[in-house]
Amino acid sequence: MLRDDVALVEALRAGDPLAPAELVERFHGVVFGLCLRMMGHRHDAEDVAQESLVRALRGIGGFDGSRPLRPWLLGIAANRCRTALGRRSRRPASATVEVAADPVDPRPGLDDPDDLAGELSRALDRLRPEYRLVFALYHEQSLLYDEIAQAIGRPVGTVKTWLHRARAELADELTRRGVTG
Amino acid sequence: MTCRDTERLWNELLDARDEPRPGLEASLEAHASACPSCAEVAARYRALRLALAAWSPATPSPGFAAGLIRALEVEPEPVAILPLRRSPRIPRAAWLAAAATLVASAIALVTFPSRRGNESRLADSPTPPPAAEGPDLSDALAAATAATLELARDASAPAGRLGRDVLASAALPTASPMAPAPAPAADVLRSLGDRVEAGVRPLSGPARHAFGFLLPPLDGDAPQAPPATPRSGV
Repeated sequence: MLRDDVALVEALRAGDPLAPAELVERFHGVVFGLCLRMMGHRHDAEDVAQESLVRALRGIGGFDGSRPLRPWLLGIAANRCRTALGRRSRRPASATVEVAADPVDPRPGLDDPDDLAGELSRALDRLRPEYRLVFALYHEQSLLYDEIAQAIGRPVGTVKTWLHRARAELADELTRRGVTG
Repeated sequence: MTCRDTERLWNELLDARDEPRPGLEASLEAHASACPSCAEVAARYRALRLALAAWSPATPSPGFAAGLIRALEVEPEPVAILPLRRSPRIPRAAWLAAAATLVASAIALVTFPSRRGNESRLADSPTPPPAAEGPDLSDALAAATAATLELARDASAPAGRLGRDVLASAALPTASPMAPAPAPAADVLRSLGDRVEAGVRPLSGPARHAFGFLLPPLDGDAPQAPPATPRSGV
């Protein structure tokens, strides 16, 4: 029988040997989802997601049990992604894998849902990391503004600004690539 | 609504996620149909809405969770990370050790004559009790010098030099600071004169200030200086 998040946190703190696996089972998808949006690469995303969940398990003692667990976990994942992206940007140029920019799609309209999702993902990859982060947390992870603010340690106003700019840039990019509503 | 509200209202519509806002949507479309510039904005946001509707959450590989759980089971407990031990601050420690040694030696030298004849106190001393007056003082000074030099050598060369100089200066016959200073003997004055001529400066300024009371008076046969005037050292 699955416990709710509060009971799960209590079990983790009490040293229940089954609780870590339950936390992983419950949250690995959302943590991985954010990591994939941020890292843009499955293997890197799985590494960062694993690191995030391990850190969360080690830091569960410092978690405020009165708050929701998912934003806290996503905040840890966001931090780990930021660190990993910083590490990646400091790699020597010879060690980085150059990804060729996709050419502009000349087709007049793309109505295949799979293509639309792919177009959105590719456009998202071109956003600044902070814009990409708040967009993914809002539209993919369904967090509220104040939960995002708490997770990334920024004021709600900043979160709103970043999200609005992310939407505007994505809308421009999608239209430029031939997606029409 | 006005053109200035367009972007804000489109964001309001997107904030609603899947929640239908028919009134707001109708208002935006009505304005876009009458305003060419807002029609472009509306087309861009409609494209974004369409893409968002097709967007599905990313899922990890099938074995990701199982692998992570296995990794957690075999992972050892986190080891407390101790701060790296910093290299000892040798110069500061050396100076502190040398200063402590010097103070102890100075106190021993000043109080040594008063201990003479006090058998019970001497019995506690690690140095064997003296059998005769002359050689005992020399032995004690030699032992203290050797011990001090050993400590100072271990600590640092500058500290060792300072300790050697101080002990060399303090080895001269001294009087208790509380008792009236007797007139210096001729050989003491001669020794001090030789040292001055040789340009010996056994003490630095701060050390002379701190341990100057150990040094013999230089005023010799000259009239004694008033108490307020600081006594000059060698």
